[in-house]
Amino acid sequence: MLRIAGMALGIVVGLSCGVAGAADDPWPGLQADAFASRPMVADSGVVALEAPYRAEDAAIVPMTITLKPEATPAPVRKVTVVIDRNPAPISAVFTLGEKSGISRISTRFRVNSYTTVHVVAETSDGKLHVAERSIKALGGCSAPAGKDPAEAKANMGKMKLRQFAGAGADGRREAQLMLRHPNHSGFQMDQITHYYTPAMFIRELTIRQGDDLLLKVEGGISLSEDPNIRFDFTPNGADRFTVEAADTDGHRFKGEFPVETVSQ
Amino acid sequence: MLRLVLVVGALLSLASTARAQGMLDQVDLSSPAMTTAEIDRPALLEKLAAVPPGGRADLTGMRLSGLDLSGVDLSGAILRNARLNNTKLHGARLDGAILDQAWALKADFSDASLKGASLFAAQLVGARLAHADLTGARIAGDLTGSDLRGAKLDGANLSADMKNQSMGLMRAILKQAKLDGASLKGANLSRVMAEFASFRDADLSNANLASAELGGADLTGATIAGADLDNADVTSTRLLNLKGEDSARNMDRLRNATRAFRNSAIVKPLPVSEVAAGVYVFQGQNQLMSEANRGAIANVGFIVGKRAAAVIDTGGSVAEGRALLASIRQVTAVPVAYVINTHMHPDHVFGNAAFQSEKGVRFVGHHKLAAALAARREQYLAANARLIGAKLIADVRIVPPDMAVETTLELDLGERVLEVTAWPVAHTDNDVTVLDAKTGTLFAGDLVFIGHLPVIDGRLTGWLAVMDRLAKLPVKLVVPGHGPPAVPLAAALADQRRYLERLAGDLRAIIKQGGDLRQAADSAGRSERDRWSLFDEYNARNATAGFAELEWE
Repeated sequence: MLRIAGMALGIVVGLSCGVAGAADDPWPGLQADAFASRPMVADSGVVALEAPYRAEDAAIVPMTITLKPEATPAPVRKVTVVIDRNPAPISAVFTLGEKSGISRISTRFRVNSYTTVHVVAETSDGKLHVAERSIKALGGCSAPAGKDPAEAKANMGKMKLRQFAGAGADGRREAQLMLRHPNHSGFQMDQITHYYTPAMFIRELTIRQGDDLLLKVEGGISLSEDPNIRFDFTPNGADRFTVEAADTDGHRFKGEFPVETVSQ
Repeated sequence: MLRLVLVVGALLSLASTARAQGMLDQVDLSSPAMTTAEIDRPALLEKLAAVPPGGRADLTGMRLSGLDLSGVDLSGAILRNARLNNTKLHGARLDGAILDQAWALKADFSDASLKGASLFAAQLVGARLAHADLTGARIAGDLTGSDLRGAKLDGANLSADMKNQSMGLMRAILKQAKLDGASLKGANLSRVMAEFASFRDADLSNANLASAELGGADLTGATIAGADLDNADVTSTRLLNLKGEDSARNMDRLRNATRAFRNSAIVKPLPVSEVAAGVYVFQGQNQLMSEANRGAIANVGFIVGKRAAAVIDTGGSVAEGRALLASIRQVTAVPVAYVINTHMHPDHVFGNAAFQSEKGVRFVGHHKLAAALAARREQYLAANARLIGAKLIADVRIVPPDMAVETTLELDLGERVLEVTAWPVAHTDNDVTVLDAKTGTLFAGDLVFIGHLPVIDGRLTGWLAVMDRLAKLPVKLVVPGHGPPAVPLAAALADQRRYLERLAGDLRAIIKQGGDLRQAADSAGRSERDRWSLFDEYNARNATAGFAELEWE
C-alpha cells in the first residue's frame, strides 16, 4: 500500500533500471540513433501528445497521440513514441494504414522515472514532426507484473475488441483492442531465485479492417501489461476486423471480430 | 598415561562442545606431573640466559608448577604443553610466547605482558590475569573463572577455530570470568562461551561478538560502539547503561533479546486495548508512513493463550515491532509462538524482525505471501526508506512466512485455537484473516478498512465477493486493518461496501460510455471524497487499477 502512496505522491525517486543521470539529456543521442539526426519540426500542429503530468500508477500511464491531418498536405504514416529515460526508450512504433483515417491513438506505457516523452510523426513525404511532454512517474519497468500474477499467466492471449461510435457526425468510428499479456519487461526480479523474469513482450500487433491495414504496432517492454490500444478510423465497409499479434517467445495470437453496428 | 586419559576424555565429551576443552574431570590434578617443578628458579634463569640473542627458549612440556617466576622475561619462549599450575608469573614478560596446550591452572599472570602470545587449547581455569596485556593474543583456551579485570585484550582473537573441531569447538571459554574494566577493542569474540562472565564497564568497541554465548553475563556500563552482536545469545544478560549502543551492529538480531535485562526506557510499549478477553489491539493512525509515526499506521495486535501468544501484524518498522513485543511482555510471559502477517504491505510486515529472536517462533502467512514479498522487496525498501527514514529502514528485514496457509490453518495457543483463513484475490492476492473462536473476534487485516480509504492492490470484484463471505462469519467483533480497534461485524463492512460499489459502478458507467482511463482516474468514486481520510492519496490509484480490471468484464 505504501509503495503505491509513494508513487502517487511522487515521493519515490531513482528506482533505476539502468537509467542515465538526470543531468545529461538523452534526447539528442536518441534523435541521432533512431532518426539519423534528420530535422524535426516542433509545434507544427501535426502531432500532439496528451499524458498526465504525474502518473497514478507508473506501470499504467495512459497517453494519447492526436494527429491533425489538415495541418500537413502529406498524411502521417508512422508515429514513434520515445520515452527518453526508459531502459529501452523507443517504446512503440505505430504504422498507420493508408486508408485508415486514424487521427487519434491512446495506449498505456510503463514509465520508469521522471522523463520527457517525445512523439515523432513521419509524413509520407519523409518529414518529421515532433511533440513532447514531461511525466513524473517512477519504477514502471521494475514494478512487479500485475496484482494477480496467477491470473495474468492463465489468461495470456485473450483478446477483446470494443467498438464505439466516433465523436463527430462524419461516420468515423473508434475501436479499442485489448490483449491479455504480461509483457514482462525483463526488469522484474524474482527475489527467491534472484533471476530477472526474462523479457517476454508483444513484438508486433496488426489490426486490419477487411484486407486493409488499420494499424500496426511494434512494441517493446515499455508497453504496459495487457496491451491496450484505442484509435479512431474511417470504416471501409468490410464486415470484420482481424488481429494478429506475436510476442518475443514466438507465441502467436489471432482474433477475428465482426464489425458491429454502433449507433451514433 | 595422560595421553590415554585425554583420548578417553575426548570420547566422553563428544556430545558436548564445551566439555571437549574441559578435561579437568579426567586429569589427576594432584599428581606430581601437575603440581611439581623439575627445575628451580635460578636454574631456569640460567637456562634462559643460555639462549642466544634472537633465539627462543624451548621449554616444551616442562614441569614448572608452583614456581615463583614473577618478573622473569620469557618473551618468545616455547611453553607448549608446559605445566604452570599455580605458578607465579606476576609482571613476567611472555610476549610472543607459545603456551599452546599448556596447563596454567590458577597461575598468576597479573600485570604480565603476553602481547601476541598463543594460548591455543591452554588450560587457564582460575588463572589471575588482572591488568595483563594480551593485546593481539590468540586465545582458544579454557579461562573459566579467571580474573581478567583491567586486562588489555585489544585485537586479541578469542573466537572459535572453525577448522579445528575434531575435539569440539575450540574457542575461548570465559564462563564466570571477570573482565570488568577490561579493554577488548576490536577483539574477536565470535562464538566465545562467556556465560555468567562479567564485562562491567569493559570496552568492547568494534569487537566481534557474533554468536557469542552471553547468557547470564553482565555488560552493565560496557561500551559496544561498532561491536557486532549478530546472533549473540543474551538470555538473562544484563545489557544496562550500555555506551555506544547506537552504533552497535545487529542489535536487532540478538538471540533471546526479550529475555535480556534492558533499561526499561529503551523500549516503550505500544498502548494496546483489550478488545476481548486476552485479545489486544494497538490502533494505528490514519496517515501515510513517516519517520514521525515510525510506520505505526495499521492496527496490530496479539492474542494470548495458556501456553503461547500469537502476534497479528508487526507494524511499519522494527521499532514499532519491538514496542509491540514490549506490550506483550507487560501482559504475559508466555512465548510468542506465531507471528501472522495478514498480507504483504509494509505497514503490516516491516516489524517482523523484532520477533525473529523469539525462540521457536513461526511466521505464518498466505501461501502467496512469500512470492508477493519477494517480488516487491526492493521496491518496498527503497520507497519506504524515503518515508520512514534511513535509520528506521536500516533494521527492516523482509521476513517471509515459514508456515504457508493454503485454505485454513489452526494454531493452538493452549486452551485457545486460532483459525487462519487464506482468501482469494481481494485487497491483495495474499490476504488472511485470524479468527479467535473463544471470543468471536476476527482480525480482518486490510480486508476491512474503516475511516481510512480502502486501497485496492488486488481485485475490486474479488474484494466485494470476499466481503459477502466475511459478513456471514460467526463473528462478534472485527478488528479492521485500519480504523478503530474493534467494531461489531454488522457495522464493519457498510462504509467500505458503499465505497467499493460506488467506485465499481462509476467505472462500469465510464467503460460503458466509452470513457477512458484518464477520465476514470479523474472522476470515479469522487462522490465519496468527504467520507474518508487519505482519499486524495489513494482514490485515483484505485480507479486506475479498477478500470484496468473492469474493462475486461
